[in-house]
Amino acid sequence: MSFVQVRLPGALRTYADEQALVDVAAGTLAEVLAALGQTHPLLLPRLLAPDGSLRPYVNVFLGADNVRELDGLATQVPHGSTITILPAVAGG
Amino acid sequence: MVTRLLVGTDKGLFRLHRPGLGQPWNIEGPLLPGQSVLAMARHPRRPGSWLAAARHPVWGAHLYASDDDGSQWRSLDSVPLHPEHRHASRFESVWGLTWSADGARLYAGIDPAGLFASDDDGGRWQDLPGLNDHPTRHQWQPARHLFAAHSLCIHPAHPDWLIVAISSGGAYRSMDGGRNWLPANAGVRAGHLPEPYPQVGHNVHRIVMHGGSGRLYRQCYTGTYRSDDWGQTWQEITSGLPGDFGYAVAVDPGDPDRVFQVPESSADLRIVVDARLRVFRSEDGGTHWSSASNGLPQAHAYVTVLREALHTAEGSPCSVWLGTATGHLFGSDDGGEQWHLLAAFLPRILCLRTIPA
Repeated sequence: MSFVQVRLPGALRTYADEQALVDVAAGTLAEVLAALGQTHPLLLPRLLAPDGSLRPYVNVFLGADNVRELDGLATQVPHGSTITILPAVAGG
Repeated sequence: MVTRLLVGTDKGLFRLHRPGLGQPWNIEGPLLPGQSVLAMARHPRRPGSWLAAARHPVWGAHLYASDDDGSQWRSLDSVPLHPEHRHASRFESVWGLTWSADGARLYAGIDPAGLFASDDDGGRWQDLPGLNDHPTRHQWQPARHLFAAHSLCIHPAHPDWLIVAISSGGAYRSMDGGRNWLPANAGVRAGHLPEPYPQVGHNVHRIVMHGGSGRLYRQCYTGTYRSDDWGQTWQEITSGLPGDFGYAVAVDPGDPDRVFQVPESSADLRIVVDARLRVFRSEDGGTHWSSASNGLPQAHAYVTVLREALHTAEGSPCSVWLGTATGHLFGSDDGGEQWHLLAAFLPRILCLRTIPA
């Protein structure tokens, strides 16, 4: 189990008691999101589609790496790492 | 007199208020900023209580509730979902919200086409498989940008009588509270299908009900229709309108014979006929129509009025409100005799409702 810090975009802070940074304990990205959902249940449906996949225009970075280029939701999150959630730049 | 409006747009929800007749409207918003507000419904028994269906291109589609007539909104934590693996997608967005008359049950029509019910104000949803797994479902198909159930109406005297529109799939009616459904398209043309009068498959743009009588009006991809027998048969009332295409139709809450429609040119162009923004009004249930468009632009108006963007409110005469996809908002306090521009530079207007005094 790792302790990691999650950085939330401004648009989602209203669903996290206006916090920009949230600390969670988890081993994988899926567990990170599940932990976020436990404390802030309105966050999760904005990050995951109904089928449980990451929404197509939601980008999640482990450090500087987009998790889609790692192992997606199964990506292991090292202790002390920072996870950044950002909306994709879509539409030019 | 209507003094407050809720206007759902492609970039959020706006609240408009005027101190009195002839006074300028104040605009508050955007609320739910950046979201496409697709549908709104006021609770029939709880003053100030509203629900809105909204969709954001990144964060998805969700339902929101307000207890203060739309000033503040909070997200609900669930949406209606098809069972896993039934369709390619379990949920894209909500396109229609309807309360039962007693406010005990909430219905939601969603994309992919399906109808769901909630008995706890949207906390939990139940599937209505009699419609959602209907044996004719294979004849339904997505319309442009949409594959949804919408326009659910509930008969005022028979709470178990329901009718709903599928775009595109046709209308279906239930006489037993939503367990069993039958196609309700007799007499309705379907210009996009090989058969002129098929049983199902119609592209229904809008169905509205006169709340007192249960009379129905229907705007389709081809034609405008009326039904006086809860959708068992439809009488075409297009004659007298300058076109058979359109999205928006509305009925005077105080008079089932007074109906309003905005004619659009062909399905290829989808702007008002002759680039004139005209509301056509009938005083006899659609037998005769005449333009009721004083104050609306009558030249170079390359606009469209979407299905939820024409609305009537009780009054004598009723008031009529319309919003265009170009963000122009108009109102008439006298049944369409004279129109006034309320706002000219809103985002694309998707739906609008009046807030009761």
